[in-house]
Amino acid sequence: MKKVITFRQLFYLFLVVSITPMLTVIPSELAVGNGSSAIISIGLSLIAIIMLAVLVGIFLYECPNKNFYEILIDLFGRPVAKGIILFYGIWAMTLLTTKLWQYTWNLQNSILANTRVQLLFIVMGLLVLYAFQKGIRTIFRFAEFVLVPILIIILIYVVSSFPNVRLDYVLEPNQMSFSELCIQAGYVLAVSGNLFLLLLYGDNIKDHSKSKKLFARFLGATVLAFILVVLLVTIVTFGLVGSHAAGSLATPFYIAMKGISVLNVVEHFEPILIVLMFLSDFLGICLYASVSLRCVKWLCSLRKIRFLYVPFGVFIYYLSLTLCRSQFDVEYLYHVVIVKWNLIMEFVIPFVILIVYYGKRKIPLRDVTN
Amino acid sequence: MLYVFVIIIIATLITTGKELLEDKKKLYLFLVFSLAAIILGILYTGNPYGNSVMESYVGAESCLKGKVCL
Repeated sequence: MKKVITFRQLFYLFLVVSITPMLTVIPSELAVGNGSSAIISIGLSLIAIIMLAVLVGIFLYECPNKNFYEILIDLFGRPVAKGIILFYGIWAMTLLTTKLWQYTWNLQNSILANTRVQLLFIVMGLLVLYAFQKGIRTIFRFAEFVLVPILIIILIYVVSSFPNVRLDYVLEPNQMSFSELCIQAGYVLAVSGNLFLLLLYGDNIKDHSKSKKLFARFLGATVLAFILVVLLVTIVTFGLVGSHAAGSLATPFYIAMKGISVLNVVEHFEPILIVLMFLSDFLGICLYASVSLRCVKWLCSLRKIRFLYVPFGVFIYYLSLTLCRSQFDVEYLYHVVIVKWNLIMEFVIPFVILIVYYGKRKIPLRDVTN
Repeated sequence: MLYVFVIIIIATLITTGKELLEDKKKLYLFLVFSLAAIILGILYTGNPYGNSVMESYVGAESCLKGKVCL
């Protein structure tokens, strides 16, 4: 496997992919409570995110040049590893279809209300196919290229909206129980769980020789940036439109920014957010498609899978249309199935694997395959 | 749309035919995904509420008011 990705690119991709859910799903879902409960839920989710980051760090650092599948083979043997990968493949494809719908949902709710989903699917499919032709390296480099401008633009939005934020909207007393707060935190975790997907690219990383301290710094900065953006976006959204209104909107941050001006000079610049969300969705769809194809590749013990791009694309197109026939189905699928499934695949199973890894640690992991 | 996709799949099959014939596993995988896509395409009969967000809301509202019986 070619080593073409750096740690920085991996973490940048995670952050870019998380941008759209940070601006749409998370504020909308956290609005079930109020501002205080949202902040507490984000705080609770931070604990689990740090644990996941430590897990990812352990595997990436202690099993250099190995991807998730190779780690599974070392721990459980090939048949069990393939069974787990099959499960991950089905999950990744379902996640991909939901992500496709969420991308059309964002566009249709903002600027393209009368455009049919099929057209949006095909446009995105062609873009992803083009990106895949260029290789995974291009996708990761693109994420590296766009992250900083995206974060700067979001920061400008947030800072510009501070004078209009109503603190009484944000600092309402929390009325939710601990279990309800944990359920709210699950929505943040379902997004942050993408950090785990980076393990699937462990064999593509070229700078394993970097010091442990530097690697930990990268990981820490990624988690910190994620939590900061989630916190700022949620506070600003709730502070501008209130938690009740945010809960009923599909793109709450976008709506909240409609009345914001920068230094009373630039107004109505919220369509830039649509571009940011489109870029984030594009990279998210690339990531999930890549994960799905990797699972197929590992399952069938293939070296190259370029021949499958077209049938896979058509399959996902019709799977998306069949699985969810309308936006209502997407909402149902996401809330009832995907969030819980994400938590199982990105938190529960990886931690079980970590426990098994430490159980078998007496045998050096790198020698098991020899 | 399905016809267009079938033509694209056949074109891909022709262009990658040599690679697929060399490794039967690849050929079977290609056929499995292609057939699954075509079957889903045949099964998909459209969105009863309409294919854009406006159509969905208007369709759902009509349904709730009893104007349309699905």
